[in-house]
Amino acid sequence: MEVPIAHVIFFIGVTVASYLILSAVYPQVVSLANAFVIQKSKIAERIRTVFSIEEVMNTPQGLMVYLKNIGYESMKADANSYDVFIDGVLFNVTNAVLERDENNNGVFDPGDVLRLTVNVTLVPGEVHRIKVVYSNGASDETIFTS
Amino acid sequence: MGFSVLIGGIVTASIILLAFFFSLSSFISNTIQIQEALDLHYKIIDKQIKTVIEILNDTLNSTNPTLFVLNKGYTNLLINCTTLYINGTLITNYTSYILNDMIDKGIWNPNEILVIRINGNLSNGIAKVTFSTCEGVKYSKAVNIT
Repeated sequence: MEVPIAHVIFFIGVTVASYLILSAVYPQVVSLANAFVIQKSKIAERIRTVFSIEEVMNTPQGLMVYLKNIGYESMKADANSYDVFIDGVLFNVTNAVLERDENNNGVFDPGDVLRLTVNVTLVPGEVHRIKVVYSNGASDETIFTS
Repeated sequence: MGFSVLIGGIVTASIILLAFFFSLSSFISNTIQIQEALDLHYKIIDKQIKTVIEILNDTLNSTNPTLFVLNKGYTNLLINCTTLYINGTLITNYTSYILNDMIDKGIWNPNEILVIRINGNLSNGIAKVTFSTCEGVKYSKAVNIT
């Protein structure tokens, strides 16, 4: 009779210990899984976002940079979503215009062409490196003659 | 006593294994989605590697500008999202068709020539003409407009 009671006590003890371990570990596991989901979403979106600098033209109004969305993800068509670096220096994007908007939805969809106006004055005939970075980290760079 | 510890151990191990299983399945699911995004990205790169185009013109007629672009690559191309720039400005007012399009009508196959008829007149002089495919593969050339 004493042995089964000891068994029951040990069993309850071990079960309670298991519950305590689980209650400590499970929220961390759930939190980790959620972090994976968020990270996955961002990484997958970043990988699907691909654009190309098609043409760069130096004008008195600033630098005109034409981008084509060649990826699988729609992008924003506003100036604040893009950072432009010329020879490693960040310059202000003053305007973003969809030059080609196949769906007429105001969104920089795959196949569309976006023109950025960069507030910079460059001496004509010089070779520069330009890098355009989208808000999710997708980027493209090229060299051009101003 | 040994039996109850064994049972308790099994319960603990089961709970931990269950939590591990949930986190693992979440991780695998996320990995698959990232892998799918990577596959799409590789598809773009594969297409870019296989794409080679060339502008055949050395001159353009200023009043009836017609451009000929050869698909010199190893893959067929779409023509609905190609882009044309003259002196850094996007040209949207043009019609295009494939010369002697005998196979896969509407698809720009290797060794086929895309004919681009620009609506309107161009100014005389040397102009930089850039043509870009849907995948962002470009060809630029100085063309004499007469």
